[in-house]
Amino acid sequence: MGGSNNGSNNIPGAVFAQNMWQNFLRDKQAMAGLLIVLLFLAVGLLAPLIAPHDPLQIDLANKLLPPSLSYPLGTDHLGRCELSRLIYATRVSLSNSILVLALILLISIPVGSVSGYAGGAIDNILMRITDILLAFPSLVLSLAIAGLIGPSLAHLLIALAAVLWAGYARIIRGMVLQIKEKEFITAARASGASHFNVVTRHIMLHAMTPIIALAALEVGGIILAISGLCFLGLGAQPPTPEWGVMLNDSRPYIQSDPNLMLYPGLAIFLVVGSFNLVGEGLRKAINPQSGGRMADR
Amino acid sequence: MSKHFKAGGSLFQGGKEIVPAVDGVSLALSEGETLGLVGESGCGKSTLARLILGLERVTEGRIYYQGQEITGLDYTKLCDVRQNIQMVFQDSYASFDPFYTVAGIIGEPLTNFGNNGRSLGNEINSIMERVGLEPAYASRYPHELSGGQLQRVGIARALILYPKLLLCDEPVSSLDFAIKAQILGLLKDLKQQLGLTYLFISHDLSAIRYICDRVAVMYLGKIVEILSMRRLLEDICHPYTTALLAAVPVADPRLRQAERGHIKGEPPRFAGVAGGCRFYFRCPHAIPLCREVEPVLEKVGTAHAVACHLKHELGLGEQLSEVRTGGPGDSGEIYSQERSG
Repeated sequence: MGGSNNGSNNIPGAVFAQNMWQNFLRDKQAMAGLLIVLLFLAVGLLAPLIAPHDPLQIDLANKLLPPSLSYPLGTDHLGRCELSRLIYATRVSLSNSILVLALILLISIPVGSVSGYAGGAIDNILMRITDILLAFPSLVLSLAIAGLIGPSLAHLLIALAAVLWAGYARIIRGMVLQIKEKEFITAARASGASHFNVVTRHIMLHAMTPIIALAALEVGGIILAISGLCFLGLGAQPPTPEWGVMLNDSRPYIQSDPNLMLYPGLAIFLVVGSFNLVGEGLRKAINPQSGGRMADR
Repeated sequence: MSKHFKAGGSLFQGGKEIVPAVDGVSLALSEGETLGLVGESGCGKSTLARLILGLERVTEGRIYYQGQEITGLDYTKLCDVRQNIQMVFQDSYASFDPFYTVAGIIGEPLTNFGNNGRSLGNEINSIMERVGLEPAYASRYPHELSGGQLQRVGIARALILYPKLLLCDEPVSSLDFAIKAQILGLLKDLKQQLGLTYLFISHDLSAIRYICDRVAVMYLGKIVEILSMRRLLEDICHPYTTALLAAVPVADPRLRQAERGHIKGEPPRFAGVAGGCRFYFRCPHAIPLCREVEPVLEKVGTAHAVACHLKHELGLGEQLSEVRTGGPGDSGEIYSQERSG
């Protein structure tokens, strides 16, 4: 029945889930990425316990200190502990990117599944809206929105979600379109399931794994976008410890103290890179045939 | 009380080309009977079943169930209908969500109708017992079951709502012979136990003969003949029915006849059937009239209707006996003409 164009769809659910998990666990890159992500998560969660100092405490007498025992990474231009700020910034970056992701999924899953499932005029209208959003470079558009509604972290998150959901909605719509043609969807309809039940109990069940992989792949991008916009002064405002803000703060000292820019940069690089490794690993595990290439989106 | 289906002229639009998958079909099913629906692949049998269940939209015509029109109902009303009409799918495996266990699959119709309570498990167990599935299978996944077991699960899912009408869409055509007999036997038993009515779709005449009271023969979206199973051999009249029957493989080589009566080629594309008899191009008895005028389904006996201009000439069993004995001086070549233009 109905040709499926990707191998994983022929594998029965339970076996598929098991295989996927095994593939994922065997992927060394993904495991390394996962390890780093978990490490950062732990650091973020335990920030008050492991940070040696208050990240907001200004001590102008001890500004721009080199690394020492009491300040392992030195102090910044206001004498705040660089390590403590990095640790608290992890918390800010991770929690906010997850918040943006949740907002994106909250919009894109209903829109994508309604669009794909209902088809027709509804599909057309919703997809034209996403077309409009996708026609703009996402960072520039969220920059514009964030600038319009005023610089604050909350506004930045809203702006990012308002722009980034469109791509997701499209991908989810595609998955729904593919799943809804399956015979078991017809069978579910025939047995009296409402459209809502068909979507929530069957279609979403099958779309969930790819959505999770997609999300893991995107977290990196979101962290980068948040840091980037904060660096431009549109998101978190000083003195909030945030990687982008820290980068901006230490910009004047790049000649004398380049390490102040290096630390937050390195943190962003590590987190974004490892989220990408995890997402890529998940994607490969779901669809082993596609090899190591990036999904073309 | 009678159940009356009329699926008249439903046209499916595929692109610009209109494909009449089911075209002007009129069928009536009375309670407690098993009506067979037989025809070649792609002649619209399954589409008819989907139409009855409201899974496809009827383009034209009406469907009645227990005297009430059920064409184009909205969801809530359609649910009442679906509680009484259920379907067994040809490819059970594809019709099960691979993430669901057997119990989940069988129980789904019940949960759809609001039963989430404790009785759910009991219902599932009792229906599994009825269709001959060990309770141990309840926690298995579809891919862990054999073809016969899958079909039993499919039947259990269709029966858990205790419907009155069961649409069996080729329920045994994917099974091997021994299992096929088991499933057919099961369907027959269940029908008696639960007082079911079947619409039994198949291209397999041996299965139809085993289970059906009446048989409707479909060709390219139209019913060409309706026969009572008891008088099948006596009444058979339409050349297409004859050909279908002649195509049934005979196990004993001594009983096989020459390939007379076999039709050749494939049915023409739907788009090309405007005007005239649809079977014209493959019919061994076609006369010029057949090309011009489409024959209508006419009643010729108490339980026999046929759509053929030559129904009286070809009449009633004579043709079949000719086929069975093998006509004199015939090389077995039959009239088959490529459609032109």
